Amino acid sequence: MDLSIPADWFVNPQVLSEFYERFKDRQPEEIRKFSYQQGLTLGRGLMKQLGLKGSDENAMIAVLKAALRDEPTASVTKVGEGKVLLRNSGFCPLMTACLSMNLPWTWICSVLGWPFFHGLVSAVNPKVNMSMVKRRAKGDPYCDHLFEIGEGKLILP
Amino acid sequence: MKVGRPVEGLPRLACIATFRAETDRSSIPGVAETLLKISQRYGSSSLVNGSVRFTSDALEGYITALDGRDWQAYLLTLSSREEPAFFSVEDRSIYEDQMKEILALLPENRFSLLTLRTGWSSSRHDAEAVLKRYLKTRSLSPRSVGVVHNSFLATVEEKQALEAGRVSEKQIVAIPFDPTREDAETDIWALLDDLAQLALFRGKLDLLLSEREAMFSQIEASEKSTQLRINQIFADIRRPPEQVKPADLESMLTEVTILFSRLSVAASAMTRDYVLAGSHLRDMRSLFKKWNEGISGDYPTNSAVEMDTYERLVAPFKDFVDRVDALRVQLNTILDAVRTYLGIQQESLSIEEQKSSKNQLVRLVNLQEILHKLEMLIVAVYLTEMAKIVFDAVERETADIRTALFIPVALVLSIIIGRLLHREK
Repeated sequence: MDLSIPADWFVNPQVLSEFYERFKDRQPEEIRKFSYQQGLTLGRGLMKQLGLKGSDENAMIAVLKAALRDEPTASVTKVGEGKVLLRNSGFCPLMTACLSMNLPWTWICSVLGWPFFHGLVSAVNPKVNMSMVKRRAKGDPYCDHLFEIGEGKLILP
Repeated sequence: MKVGRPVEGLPRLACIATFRAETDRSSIPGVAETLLKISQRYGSSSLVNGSVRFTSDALEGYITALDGRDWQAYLLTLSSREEPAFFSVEDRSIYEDQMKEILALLPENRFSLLTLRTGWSSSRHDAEAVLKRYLKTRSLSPRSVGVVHNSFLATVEEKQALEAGRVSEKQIVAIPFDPTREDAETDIWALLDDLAQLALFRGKLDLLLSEREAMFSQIEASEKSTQLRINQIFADIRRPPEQVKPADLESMLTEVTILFSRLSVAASAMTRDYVLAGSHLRDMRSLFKKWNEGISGDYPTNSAVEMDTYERLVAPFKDFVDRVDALRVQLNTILDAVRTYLGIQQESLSIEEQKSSKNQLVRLVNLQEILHKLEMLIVAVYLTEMAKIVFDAVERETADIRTALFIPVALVLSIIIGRLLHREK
């Protein structure tokens, strides 16, 4: 599958608007599959570009950092054996973009944001699970995306 | 939209129910579909111009859909077909049961519900007494009471939809005090007209509010972590100049610019929503102004309490903009500081470059002078050698002495030649 949304979709209101118009009437699971594939394609491209070979947490960190290199609110850290945490603090770029175009932020997070990043890291290791430990939309101080080796599932909150 | 006076009779129980057209991206049945369902349920009913009328025992029902783009709103009224001279608001189980049945035919996931119960009395004094008796019998304590459209109007209960999934509910009792039933009917329909308008305005405001609720709930956390980052950047800038490298400043500038532009977008988008919410608020204020609500006892008026509620609903929009603006001011200060810092560093670099160029120029001039002197020596040697050849040819014995004596002359000649050549240049 080709990468049909740009890598910086989360700061691009135009892309988000087009995504919303294209998918607003589809089933969430169908949209998540598409978003996962987009993340996977970008992840594979980045691995090739960076010359990454491993499937451990260091490779996961490298791919996430490469995808989020211009994003000041994101930090990626190893939090244990086979566990990586992507933390977004400050004003969410996706929220701002959604606010500017009057798009449903939490819906876009759930059908585009989470599966995309799950797909991105799955390029390193297809057995990676992703779960949302904390969410700003719920009033938490951060958005914490936890990646850990498991069964390759996206665990929705 | 005007409700007007679509049916004869005094509505004894009325409800205005609103629904979100899209809840979690799933649609609810359309207005036409719902009205058709109600009309089919009451076999003898008629569906004309988007409204349903039916009769059942001693009741006459009327259901119509109100305007609403992203949501649906229905007005339901139940009137008595009998013509009692006066009646209180007490015995109404027949209406309540019927209304429950109709409400069950409306879509699920109700967003708000306003219930109006009416009575009628021929004098103001009696109307007040009826209202007091009703409240006392039901152990209700009114939130607000006032006089609107020749009626005592009491809001007895309100549940705000502060959490997602909770329905906003309001219960109102109205007792018109008019000498004739005809006048009482006119007043109650006028009141329903206004309440329908208010439900529409409130629906628009609630919709806007519910769309922004998640953004309001994250402002505290986002503000705190952005403030922490701002403090870190300020601390970095305060380091001694020799410790702050141009690359650090450049990365600071990039980060702060991204944050600044992000906050600017958030502030302007929320300002847009605040302006929109303000326009709904103005519509409501204008309607309440028309009410010119009279006071009743020590109770606050309905319009005053309602306006206070709506203003509190709009306040988070303004708070969001103010808080984001406060961060933007700080980021702007950082941007200025980083730009100034970069400017100073560039200036000192340029001064150093100028100094180095000057030294290089001095060295070049010195080198040129040495080259000139060397050039004169070469010319002098050349002239001396030429003279020696001439002296050898004239008188070989004295040639060496003559050559030695010629050396100062050769030197003077070489200086003159050098000057002549350089003057030409």
